[in-house]
Amino acid sequence: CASLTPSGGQHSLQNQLSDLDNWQVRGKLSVVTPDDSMTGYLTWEQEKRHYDLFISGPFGAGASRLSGNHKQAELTLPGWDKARTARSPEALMLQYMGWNFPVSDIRYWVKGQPSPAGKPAAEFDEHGLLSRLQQHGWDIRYSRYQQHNGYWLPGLIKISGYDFRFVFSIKEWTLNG
Amino acid sequence: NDAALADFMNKVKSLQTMEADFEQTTRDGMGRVLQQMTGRLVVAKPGKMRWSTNEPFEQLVVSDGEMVWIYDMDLEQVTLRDMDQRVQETPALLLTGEATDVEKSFLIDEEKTSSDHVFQLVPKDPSQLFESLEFHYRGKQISRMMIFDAAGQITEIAFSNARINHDIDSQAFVFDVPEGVDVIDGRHGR
Repeated sequence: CASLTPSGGQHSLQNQLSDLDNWQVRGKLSVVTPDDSMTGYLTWEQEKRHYDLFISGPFGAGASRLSGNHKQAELTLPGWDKARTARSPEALMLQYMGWNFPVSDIRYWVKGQPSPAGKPAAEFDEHGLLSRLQQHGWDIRYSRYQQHNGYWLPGLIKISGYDFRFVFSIKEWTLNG
Repeated sequence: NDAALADFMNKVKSLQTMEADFEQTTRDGMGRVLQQMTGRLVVAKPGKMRWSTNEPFEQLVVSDGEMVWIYDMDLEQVTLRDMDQRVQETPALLLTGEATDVEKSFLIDEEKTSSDHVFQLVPKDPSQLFESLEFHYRGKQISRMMIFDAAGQITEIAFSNARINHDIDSQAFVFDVPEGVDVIDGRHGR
């Protein structure tokens, strides 16, 4: 039921997001670390527990790819001719990119939903959509909500914490059944 | 080889300015399209550039020859960078770079096909982000650029509506930071 404004309030909107575990986003990612900053184009495919992230700089230079599931993660950075693997994506990103990048949480945060693990402090707007979230030491702010196939999903997500800052600008949501 | 180097240098030297639309497609090793975007490129000697991409991935990169502004409307953010950091990330800067830079940092080969004159550039410094570049010329005009990176990804940039050596308003290479945008200073020593 596509309505002009979100209906049903916070709980039903959040429950709706829980059964959304097969999606793809295309957009942009900006990363500011304690000693560097980069902006890239992002494609993130999530299918149940399997994820596949592709990040490339402008002009297709410096493409990085992170993929895996709850058992194993694999990372390919620009200039590498073979991927590195580890049990968790967070370990790989920290070791090889120096990013404190909570992939397993962002999988939920990007939808406008707290991660099921851990106690979130959440603020909702007048429509019942998540406007601000604090979880696992991170501060997440949401804006540019739009409707896609009946789901209300954020277009701009700013995540900061531990001297890191990730900004996701999502241009395309693709929701698979 | 020397002949290829000389030919390529002539192309670089003969280019004072260029304006063109472009279509950029990045494919992985198996040919799967990973990313596609369109945009417009304006370049002028020495090292000046205006590179803008259209929806859905709007971005504007402006270089005045010394500094580079990367303005991202979607992310509400402007990043400042030094020029030298950029050649690695934006090979198009080679089009208007100083000819000596090209000779110093690349091994060059050439091949003539029925329609194009193709130059292959392999960086002498292996730590470059790309493994090799190709510049395809049709007469004086560049028609296509190819970027091959070590992971097997290939980015193709096809140019169209190219205009070479026309006057360009110098305002094209000036950037004013808009109101309310986050500014990230990524220059050395900052």
